[in-house]
Amino acid sequence: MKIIVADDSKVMRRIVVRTLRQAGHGGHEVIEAENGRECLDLVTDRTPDLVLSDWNMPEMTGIECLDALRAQGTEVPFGFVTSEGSPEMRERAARSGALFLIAKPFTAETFAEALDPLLGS
Amino acid sequence: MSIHPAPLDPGVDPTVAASAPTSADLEALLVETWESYLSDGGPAIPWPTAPVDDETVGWSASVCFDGTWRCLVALEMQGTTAEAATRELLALDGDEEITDEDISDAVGELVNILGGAVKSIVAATSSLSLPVVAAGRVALPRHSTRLCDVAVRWHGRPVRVHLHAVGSTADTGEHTGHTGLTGEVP
Repeated sequence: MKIIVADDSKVMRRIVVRTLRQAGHGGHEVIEAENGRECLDLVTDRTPDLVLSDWNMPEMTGIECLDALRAQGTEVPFGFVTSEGSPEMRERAARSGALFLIAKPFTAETFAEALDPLLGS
Repeated sequence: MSIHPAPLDPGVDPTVAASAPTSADLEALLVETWESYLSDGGPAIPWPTAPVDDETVGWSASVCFDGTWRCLVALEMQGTTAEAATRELLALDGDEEITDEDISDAVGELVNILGGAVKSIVAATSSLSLPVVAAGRVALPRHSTRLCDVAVRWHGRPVRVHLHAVGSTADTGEHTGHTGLTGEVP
């Protein structure tokens, strides 16, 4: 499967990829995006099976990216991996069609819990 | 970089200070963040008596909250500490090259995580800025008030986090966010 990891921090993209592996999902093709705009373009070009996106990014935020994807009729599974996990953010994410919101700092167990139903354990 | 004092601002809403995280909250968030991503370098141990030496702040970063809760979270560490943290976050070997851009990214992401965690325990509506990183100590906005200051020992050296209330735009006549800060690394 193809997974887009969108985060403006290279450090956090590395950590997300590492945590995917630790959660038992290391065999997938990972495509990295530095912001929501790049993520939006990559979803169109590469048709991934899942998007894991930060929320707060320059150029285009994660939630703006998700809204743009849904507005153009793209139903790619989309989850947030973000430093903000307030009830308001979770509600906003769900309203836009996100499947989950993983708050930083996270663990491999949190990733497995969110991803196993989508990618298989 | 020069040190900017944090003068008390009579315009700061006293409820801001009342609703802010405590030092214990801040310390727990700092320890949790280090445990999550930097445990290979040993535990981060609370260090209430950590020395404060302005000359040894090699890298720092901050994020701002704007809204009904207007605050700034700043993270400071020595240069060798920032380099060690970056190496661990990027899983680099000791002989692999590390750039200032890597360190800036790592320190900025750490303060971003801390800022998000701080926001999660505050019952107020505020937006979180993107992090600003400085080689040296980040300057504070004028009219800010220090609310908390905690430190942990990691690799034998202090890692310090400050929380500041920031006066409103109406009070200060200036923007919040990071427009009052200097020393940004692109």
